[in-house]
Amino acid sequence: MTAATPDTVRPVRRHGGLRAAARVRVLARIEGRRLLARPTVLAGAGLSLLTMVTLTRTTAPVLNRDDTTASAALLVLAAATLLATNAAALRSRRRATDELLASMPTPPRVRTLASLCSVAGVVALAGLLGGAFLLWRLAADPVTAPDPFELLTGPALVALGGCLGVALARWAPSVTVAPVVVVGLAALEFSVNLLIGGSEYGGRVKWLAPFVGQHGVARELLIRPTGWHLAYLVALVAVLGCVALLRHPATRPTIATAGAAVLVLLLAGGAQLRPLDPAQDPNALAAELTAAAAQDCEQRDDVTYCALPGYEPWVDRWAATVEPVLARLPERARPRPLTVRQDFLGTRLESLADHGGPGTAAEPTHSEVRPGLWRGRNAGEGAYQFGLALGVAALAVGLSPDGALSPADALPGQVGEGLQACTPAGQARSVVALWLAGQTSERSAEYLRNEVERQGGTTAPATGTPAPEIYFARPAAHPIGALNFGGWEAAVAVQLLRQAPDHIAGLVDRHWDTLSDPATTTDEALALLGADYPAPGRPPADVRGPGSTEAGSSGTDWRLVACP
Amino acid sequence: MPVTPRQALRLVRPLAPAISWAPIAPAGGLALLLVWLRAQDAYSGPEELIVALRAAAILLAVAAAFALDDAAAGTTASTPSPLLLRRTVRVALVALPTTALWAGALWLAARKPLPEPSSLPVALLSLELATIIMITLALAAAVIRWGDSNSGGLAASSALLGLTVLTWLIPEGVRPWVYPGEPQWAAAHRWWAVALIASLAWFVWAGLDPRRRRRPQGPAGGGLGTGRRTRQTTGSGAPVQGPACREARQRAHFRP
Repeated sequence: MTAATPDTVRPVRRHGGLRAAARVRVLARIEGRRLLARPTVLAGAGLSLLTMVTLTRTTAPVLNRDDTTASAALLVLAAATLLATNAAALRSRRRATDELLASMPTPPRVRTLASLCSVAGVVALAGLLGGAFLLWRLAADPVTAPDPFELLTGPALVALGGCLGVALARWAPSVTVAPVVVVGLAALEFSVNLLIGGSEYGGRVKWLAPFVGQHGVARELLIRPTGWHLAYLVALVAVLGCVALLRHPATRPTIATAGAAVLVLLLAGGAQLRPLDPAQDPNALAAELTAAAAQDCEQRDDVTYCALPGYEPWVDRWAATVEPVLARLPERARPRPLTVRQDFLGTRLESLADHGGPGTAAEPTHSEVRPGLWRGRNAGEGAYQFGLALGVAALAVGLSPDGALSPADALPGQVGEGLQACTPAGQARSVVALWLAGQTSERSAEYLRNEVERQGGTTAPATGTPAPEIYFARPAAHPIGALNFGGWEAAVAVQLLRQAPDHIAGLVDRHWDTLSDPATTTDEALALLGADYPAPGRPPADVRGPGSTEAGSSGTDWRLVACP
Repeated sequence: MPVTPRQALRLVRPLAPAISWAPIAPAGGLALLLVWLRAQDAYSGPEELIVALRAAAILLAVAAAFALDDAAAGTTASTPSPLLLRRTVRVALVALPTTALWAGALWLAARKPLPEPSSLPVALLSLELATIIMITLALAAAVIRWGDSNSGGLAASSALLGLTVLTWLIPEGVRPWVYPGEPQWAAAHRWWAVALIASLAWFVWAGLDPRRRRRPQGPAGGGLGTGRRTRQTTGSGAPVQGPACREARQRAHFRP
């Protein structure tokens, strides 16, 4: 046995700071490694990755939206990290080893600091996941550019979750607290994003929540204080870390850090809540961007393509969908001049002056098809191609976008919101438009077939009419979204798709004037095209012709009348 | 030996203070607040109310997940009451405030006037709540059976949150979170009922007392050194540790 002599004992006080830092480093490394191996964190990482893929697999990469999607998906990992760090920080309590640890040379404060530092590994994992997702999207013909602050928000959220878990473990040392806090925070996120901050431009208070989504509004029209929000999150992480440390006797560095973090928190929080400049009106911004797109249009054959800044690579895709429709149309029926002009239709616009309700973009004209800010990919590509092609086909057969929806002042009684929508159901031109859109590509045809199968059996029981309704959204449609093209008409179009396209195109060419006439019924179109209603059954005679119904399938939303 | 209701009632008194009641009040309060906020929102319809009620159900399940946690599992394993009975009494005790809170949430939701054809599917939403809670309890029972007798709640509530995210991500046609009027509404609730029965069966199976330690071979049928060494477990199936381990050894040593 050897006794410790004054020479062998290290002067603890002289190197106390350094040794404490070394102890924190060692403990943090061990805790960090254990944290990364915890099933909760691994499951959270897997679910985050799955969320990223699920949310984006059917849409083409738009990087200024994908960056926010990555952060949203990392919320799952943040929640998992909260649970895992809380459980790790409560390990000694759960296993009744607090007394044992009290006899160790490492004080509780160092263990808390190590627990906080151990989150760094999961934050790095979050960064890797976000980076991998971005690389995956970059490899698939992306448009626009990501915001670096948005990309860093995801890892910051994970750090926030980790530090909150440690702080909860120190101040509310019970394993029952963290799961309830996670669900509570999820509910808070949901409420703040969708209820309190429902108005995109008026509700700035939502920026005090850890994550703020885009809610389908075009990123180009949003004024997102992403830099301030990242500073706010980093300050919040520091504040929570200090709160955890303040459970132990306070030290000067902790108090100083806490003070500085609170200062940054207030500054960044205040900057986020600052009211917007009325000059930053989103409608004016939309008009400005659309005008910029108009100045940089590309002419291909008889069609002009105008993409918004950053979306130019999509012109090739639009042309690949529009040209097959034009190729099947008789020369005299091609809409001239035809412009494919990208704009903000389909995204919610609000005015700063009146941010209570949705605004509207400029009405589409008779010679324009207006694709929005998304493009389908993989399983969503068929729907996108079909929608764009249907926009062109609808123009060709004379279904003007401004007839889609109009005020129903003249209608008796209370009809929903006082609107009437027109429907080409029962008209021959509906069959022609659907066939033209479906024959664009195999994916487009497949989409039509699937939709007929999915929606084909829909009836309108509220009105007693057995006419099946089938709704398709045209890119150039009114914000109401979709038109009822008629279930029977869609089924006939699917039947026509099974025949040789050249043969049907020849018949369409020969009888174009009759087929595009609003007065021609579906029955007459069948005779001209040599087709019949698909088995089994035929529609009753009273629903074959164009007419009007009291309401759509939703019951009370609007009144359907035959399109002029 | 058959269990009498009297036996179960006698267990209420010792088991009530052993249950983790702490999460029920905050989770319940938050659940009621969520539903109330949604009911107050003029723009929310039946679907939004159903979302709030489902969030409330998950909150109540998270709180109920801790019902089976038992720090004294090693000690209570040696009591004559079967494990399944003790667990059933625990669940029944937790079910009382949970049912009251759920009824409160439904009452708050029902106060909101809905458009004429719509109504709140109270029975089927209650089926969803029962299934969510039963799945959580079955998960907790599984964790306790193969792991730590005091970590079932934490693991089960974490797993429940993961399952919620996972089921939200699966394709629309097979997603369990459907709304009235959707074609899958009836079929989805048949699956909810199947999941309830399956989780209940799992809960019962996990609550059966583990197989008794094999009796040592030999004429006397006991005594140390006469039988094979087997893994000692508590009544909950978890390995015996600490004082319970000593107690189990003593019992083995003094077996008549």
